Amino acid sequence: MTDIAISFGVFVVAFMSHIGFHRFLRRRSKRSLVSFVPFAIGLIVVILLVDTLPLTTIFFYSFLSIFYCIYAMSPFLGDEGPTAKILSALSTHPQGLTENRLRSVLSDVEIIDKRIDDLIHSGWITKKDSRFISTHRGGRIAQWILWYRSVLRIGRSG
Amino acid sequence: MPDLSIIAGSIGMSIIFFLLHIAIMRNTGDRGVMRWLLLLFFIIAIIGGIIELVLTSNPITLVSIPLYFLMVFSYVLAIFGITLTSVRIQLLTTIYQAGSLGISYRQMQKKYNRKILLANRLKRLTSSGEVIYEKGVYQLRGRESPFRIHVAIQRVMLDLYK
Repeated sequence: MTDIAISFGVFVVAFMSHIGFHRFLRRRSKRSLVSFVPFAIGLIVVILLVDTLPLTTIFFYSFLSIFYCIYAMSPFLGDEGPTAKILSALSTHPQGLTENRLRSVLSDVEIIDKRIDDLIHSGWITKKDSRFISTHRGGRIAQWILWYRSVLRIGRSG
Repeated sequence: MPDLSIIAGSIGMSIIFFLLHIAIMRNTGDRGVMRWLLLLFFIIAIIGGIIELVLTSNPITLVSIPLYFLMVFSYVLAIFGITLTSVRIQLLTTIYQAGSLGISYRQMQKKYNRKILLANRLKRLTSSGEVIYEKGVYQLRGRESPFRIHVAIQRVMLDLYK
């Protein structure tokens, strides 16, 4: 159990370094994935420190870091999801809200425009003659998603 | 050999979760999906933990449960959740399905806008019991839930990353 506790301690240090590094970069108005590097350095530290349960400790630290990085990605990108906005609006109106009132919480510009910009920046789609077309990479991802949805029998998402 | 038992146990439980969640999703659709997933997760964790204890007689092997939690929830967040709810993914698939001619902003807005998104989210929130709909009004259920805790944590993190 000592190994697990050590790897958790390393994770906490990596997390604090990541937040510190992120804030340092933000002061220079940059938002960079480089700020996640402390988690990779932490893995090297864990590998050097493990003793009795080497595989478990490495797996534990790796998945804890992966889980955190995925979980933190939305706040890191500065996104507040539509569901969070809906729940937040409902929590400030205990008497409830109609669908029309809830609609005013969301904006098409925020929902669509920002995300389209992100898709263009990530190279998944491109804009040609005021029309959006998926790139080869975006197309492959979309194909995979559509296949996965058909396996789970999920219709449209969002 | 507790090290290998823990890894085998956590991977085994994750594979069982993965297979069963496909079976459940194919039969229930996305109605009350979070409730189903949590229930499935805990049942597998309890049964898996008991089996590991019986087979190894070593309580240290129960470390496989937090490891299983991390594996399953990484998958749920990174793949399952994104496929089910991500607006970006919806936009990407809509654009892909438009083919080589592509799609204009206005056409896309007709297929996907705040009205459609709100209807999807409210349907999901009411079916999972997070929100109740009565007399034309949506209200929060008066109890805490894992989903609301998640939303609260995300808000704290938004401040942290400002």
